[in-house]
Amino acid sequence: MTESNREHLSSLMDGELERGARAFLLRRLSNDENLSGQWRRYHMVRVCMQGELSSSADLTARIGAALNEEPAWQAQAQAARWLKPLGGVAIAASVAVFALVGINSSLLERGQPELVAEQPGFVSQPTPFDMSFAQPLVPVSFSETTAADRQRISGYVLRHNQAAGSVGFVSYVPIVVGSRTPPPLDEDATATETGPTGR
Amino acid sequence: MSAGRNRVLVGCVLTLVVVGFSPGAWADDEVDYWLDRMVRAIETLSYRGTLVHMRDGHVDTLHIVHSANQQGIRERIASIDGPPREVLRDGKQVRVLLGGDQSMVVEGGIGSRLLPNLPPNRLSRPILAYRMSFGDNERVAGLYARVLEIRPRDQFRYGHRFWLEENTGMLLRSALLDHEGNYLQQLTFVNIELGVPIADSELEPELSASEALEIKMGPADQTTGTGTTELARPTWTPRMLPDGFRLASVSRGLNSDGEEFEHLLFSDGLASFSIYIKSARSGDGPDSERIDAIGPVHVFTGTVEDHRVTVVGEVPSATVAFVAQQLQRRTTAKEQR
Repeated sequence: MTESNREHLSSLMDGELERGARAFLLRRLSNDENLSGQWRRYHMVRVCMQGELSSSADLTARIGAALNEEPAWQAQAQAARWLKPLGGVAIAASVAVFALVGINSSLLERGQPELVAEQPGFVSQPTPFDMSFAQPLVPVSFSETTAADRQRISGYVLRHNQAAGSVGFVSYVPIVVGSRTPPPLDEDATATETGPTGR
Repeated sequence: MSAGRNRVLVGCVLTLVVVGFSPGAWADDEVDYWLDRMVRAIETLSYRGTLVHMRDGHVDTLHIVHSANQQGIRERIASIDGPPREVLRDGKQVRVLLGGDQSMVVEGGIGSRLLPNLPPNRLSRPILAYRMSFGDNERVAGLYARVLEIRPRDQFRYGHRFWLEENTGMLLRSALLDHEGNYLQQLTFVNIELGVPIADSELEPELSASEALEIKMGPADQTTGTGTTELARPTWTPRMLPDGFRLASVSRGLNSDGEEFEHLLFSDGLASFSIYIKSARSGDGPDSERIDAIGPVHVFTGTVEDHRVTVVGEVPSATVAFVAQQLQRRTTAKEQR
């Protein structure tokens, strides 16, 4: 199945497909077994995400249990097996509230343990695996950073911009603007502003 | 020919029309075309103008001079209000000059970009990570502009709205939006002269760099990018990535203290982030994790497996934190046995 087909299926699910393309895709769905199978899987994912399955073989509960009970990486592998036929569902963005989507199907299909261990998979939303998100770091304004850290970070940011061939002034303006010294704050305001910055 | 057959024929023709000229395919090509024009115009045109930057209720006014000719690309971006700050680009060198007691010069040590010299949208098809569309035409700084809207499909990257000058594709206004469409920052020309000759004197810094602390990043080596052959095998890799991001280059370099680091660059075709990994040492400070924000650019600093990790990118803070959290030393098949 091509990316274009997945895109159109996703848009159809989201109700965002243009009328003519919608009619065309619906006709194809009635004739193309592969496409209609994918369509059914998308809907299966949607009901899983929304907790709408309630049979004894409740996928939602089983996936949820896997997520809660297993350490992150193993849980990922577990979920990946459940979702193996569901590659590419990341496109249905509105379906995924917090769930695992967008498993790299080509990666899974290779089935070589060392490759699975070495190459990254994909997520489209923060997932329950990301336990540390429960206590997210609070970004610190660059102007509050120590001089030594500013120098270290500036070097890395510049190298990143150069390496990425970033878009001209759009990439460099944040360096100019972000280096502005903040106006002096009174003590109370300072206490409020600085707050927790790490874990 | 019967009416039924006519209907079938008309249906076939309409189907072909829908297939051949589907709105999605047309819109993607159109978006590619305008993104190409934008990137090329920003770098290859000569221009001078006044930029206004708005973020978190702060307004900064900047003067920009950009020269592109046979001698190469030179650029100066300087703050007009607040403390004096300048960025100077001269070919492959970038220098940051900050006035007052934080005076310093930072020189990036990369000889050239590590990504293939293609417009960002050609590097990777960003259609899965973003929804792109055109808005109504508007007028910015006295020029008519096409409005391109780029909405992210998830919370791991920003959305953009670009106002592109109709004749050249030059970026006249840029807005950065979060996943829900809220404005995070806007950058707009209030006046711009396009295609004008730029004198060398306009590109000279006003700040003196003679007494400033100088930070030089060492040169990159062992560099491979997606435009060359296969990527070098990185020593580190994230277990999971935000959807659509791919490893675009692997390189090594030296920081200002002479320490070697590994540099991984990831891109989704529009957004990118870098991961820097170096051995931890006693002078690196506490192991605690932190995120610094330079406008929309977030920088995560932390420790993974006795190595100091820095993740940099114009992506939400959750993205740099997530990527760092997923980082692990790469295990080879040999080690596993």
